[in-house]
Amino acid sequence: MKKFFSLLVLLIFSIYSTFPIWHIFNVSLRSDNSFQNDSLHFWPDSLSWKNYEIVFTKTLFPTWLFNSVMISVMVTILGLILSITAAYALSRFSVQGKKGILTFLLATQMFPATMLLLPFYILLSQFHLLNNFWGLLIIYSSSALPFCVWQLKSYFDTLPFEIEDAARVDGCNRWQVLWKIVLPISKPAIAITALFQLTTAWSEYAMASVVLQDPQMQTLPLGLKSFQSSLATEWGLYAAAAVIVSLPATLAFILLSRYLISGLTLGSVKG
Amino acid sequence: MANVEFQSISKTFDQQNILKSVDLKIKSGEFLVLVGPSGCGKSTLLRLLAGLEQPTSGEILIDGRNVKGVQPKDRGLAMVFQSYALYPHLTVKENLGFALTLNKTPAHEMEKKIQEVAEILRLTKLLSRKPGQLSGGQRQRVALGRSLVKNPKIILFDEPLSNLDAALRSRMRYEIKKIHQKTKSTMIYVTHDQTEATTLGDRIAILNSGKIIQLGTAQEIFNKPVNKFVAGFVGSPEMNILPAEFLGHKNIDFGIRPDDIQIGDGTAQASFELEEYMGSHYMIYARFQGQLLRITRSQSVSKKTGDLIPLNFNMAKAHFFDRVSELRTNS
Ligand SMILES: Nc1ncnc2c1ncn2[C@@H]1O[C@H](COP(=O)(O)OP(=O)(O)OP(=O)(O)O)[C@@H](O)[C@H]1O
Ligand SMILES: [Mg+2]
Repeated sequence: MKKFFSLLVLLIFSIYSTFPIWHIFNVSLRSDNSFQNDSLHFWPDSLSWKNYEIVFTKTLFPTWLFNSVMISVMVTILGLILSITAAYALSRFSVQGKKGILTFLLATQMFPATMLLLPFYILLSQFHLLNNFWGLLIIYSSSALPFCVWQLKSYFDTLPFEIEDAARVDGCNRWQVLWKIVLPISKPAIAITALFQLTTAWSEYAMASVVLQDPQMQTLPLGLKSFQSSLATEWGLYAAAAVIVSLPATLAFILLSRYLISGLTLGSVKG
Repeated sequence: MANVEFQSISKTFDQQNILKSVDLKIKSGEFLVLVGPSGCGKSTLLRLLAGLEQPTSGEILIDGRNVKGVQPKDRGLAMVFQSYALYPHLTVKENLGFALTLNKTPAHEMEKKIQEVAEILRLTKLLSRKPGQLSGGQRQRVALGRSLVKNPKIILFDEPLSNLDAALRSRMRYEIKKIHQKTKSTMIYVTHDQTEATTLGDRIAILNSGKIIQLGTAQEIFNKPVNKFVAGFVGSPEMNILPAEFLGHKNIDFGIRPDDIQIGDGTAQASFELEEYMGSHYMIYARFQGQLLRITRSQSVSKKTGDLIPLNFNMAKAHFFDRVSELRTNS
């Protein structure tokens, strides 16, 4: 009986939180442009993939998709390299002013992202990085960095250092210790960090709208927005594009959920 | 095979002097056992030699070469860690072969070595398991095996048998001794176990409060402990130490091992407290001059608590210590 109630509650919340998504999916399958149709049917009235076809063939969507994938992947790779090395150094070496560095990293997280729009814009224009992927890459990977460094450092702190000592005696240099021992052991923490960086870059809008003005260079969130304004709001296209956009993130979560779960119970299995 | 020399090595952690100017020479191919109370710096001494820790002052020489700044991997040694420190993501086989993979040993040779070591340590059936699926004793044997596969010049053991049961422990002790005889690697071995110390070590070094207090063969240390600490620390059951006033000495303590007291024909009178059956012998507790004495004996004394028993101290085996300096006074 207790189980029945908890299932019921879970079901209600699942429907509650997935209904908007379902609705978007619904709209994307309609042949007309009937988003604000009075008849908000639960099942789509028609089953047409026309919107998807148009999105891929008649709009800049493929370009945006390519841009977004490229930027997200590069941000993730660059972000991982930077955060892993920084976190490892902060966890294992006696760095001058370590406490200060860590507090400073945390403090940077206090500022709302919109506050940084203007300074970033000015900096980028000075370095001629406006309308340039590199500019966005630098901003994305640096803004996710503090959180990722903290997260990974806390994880590295839980690893017994004698394992690394053993590897050094066995013949590893410092880099090999990191590559052959620390990284494989830290897979769960790295998966979580990667996911965080990937999703941040994938869905970011405000900064991208400032940096990338050329429609050819825009990312998906910007592209979606342009459906809304320029074409007198093509709801069908908008919905179809939104569904496609949400797929990779969902996929990444499903693939990495194994690590997410083990990542959350870390520390309890030490030794 | 390599000789090792510690030259006035000091190590300070957070303003605490853990090692205070340690001097120690270990001969090539020697088996040196390092003993001392918990926290006296035994592991620290090994970590310094391995290059995992830097001395605050002093020099370490391996084969006459100062190894300051030499990375652990270039010191030609292997180490068995107190906490095993196995690689959790690798199988037993990969753990054993890790060092060989790094120095690019050919596959067939590596396979042969791993099998050989696994055989000795009885790990053959466990080769495909991960450390998480092993018992404490099995993990310890993997840690031991990992140090043996690469034939190092020097092997450092930090309490390598502490988690094994008595039978396995004596078997492993035998195997380590055999390996030492075969490879002639220089071995430095930390232990809390008296039997391991006396059976394995060519020499024993006793470390206390950051200093080597005595260095010598097991016989030398057992028969002529340099001070009261060593006398109490080495030998099991522990030496009896009591004020020597009853023998007419002032400010001197008298030490006598439980084996060196005979019951039955002496002039000293002690009152019997209780006896314990130890399998091969009896341990008798008796009160003498207000002190509890431990006496070993092959037979039971068949007395009741409070009965008087005559004692005879074997004075040729007696030890005398200055009460203030605690140093040995007889030769
Ligand atoms: N990295 C470190 N930082 C601070 N103190 C340390 C560090 N490593 C060791 N110590 C201290 O140095 C002392 C000696 O430690 P060590 O591990 O060498 O002792 P040990 O003789 O091996 O003891 P045990 O027999 O319990 O293993 C201890 O008091 C310990 O707290
Ligand atoms: Mg220790």
